Amino acid sequence: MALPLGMSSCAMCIDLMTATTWVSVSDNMSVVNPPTQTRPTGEAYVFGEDTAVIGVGKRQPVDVTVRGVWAEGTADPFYSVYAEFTSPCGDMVAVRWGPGGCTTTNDVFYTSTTKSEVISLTFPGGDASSADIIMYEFVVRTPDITRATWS
Amino acid sequence: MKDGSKTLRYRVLRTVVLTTDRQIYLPGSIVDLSHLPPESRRWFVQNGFYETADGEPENEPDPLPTTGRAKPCKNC
Repeated sequence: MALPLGMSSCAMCIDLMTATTWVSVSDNMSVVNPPTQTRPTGEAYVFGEDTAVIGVGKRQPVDVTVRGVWAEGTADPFYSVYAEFTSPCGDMVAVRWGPGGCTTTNDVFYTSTTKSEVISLTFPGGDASSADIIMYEFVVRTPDITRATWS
Repeated sequence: MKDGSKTLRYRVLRTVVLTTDRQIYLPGSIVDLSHLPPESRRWFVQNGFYETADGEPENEPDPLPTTGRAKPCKNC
């Protein structure tokens, strides 16, 4: 048997959509935390058996956490996210990432293009004793994540 | 295409993202795959991502550009 072709996130790419078009932000983003979608379960027990009766519910919403390198200037994606987050009642920021890179035949995963809400935004800040790069972070909540393929 | 030649348009069967405009195309969309080499187009068709859209109105060549002459008016 052959070993699977393991991949690192070295070539990963990321796009954002705040209006109707996707824009590459790979030059600004650093991390997409792998989101987990769960399906709730219920259980009950009966006297005649030693194992549980299992029921399953509907898939729960997904939180996608994205971290970026902050830069001054309105061209930085932080300000697009900030504008959507601070608009009354919130507005949409859809996230799309390709673990293997945005090249033909590679897979890409994206949050809903109609309902992807920024539910938290960590502003850029720093520590005088640190040389760390100033970062920011936001979390997008979406009902589902869809798979597509670069073509 | 503006020269009237036939384009390479396909019907999407599985959700794709085109590298040309980075936009998402859902099943049923008609897209132009002229940016892909023939072997890539063949691979995508064989793997169920597209089917050819030959003979569909969306797959007809764009009309040749008009010459700028106004159409003759009726009843004048």
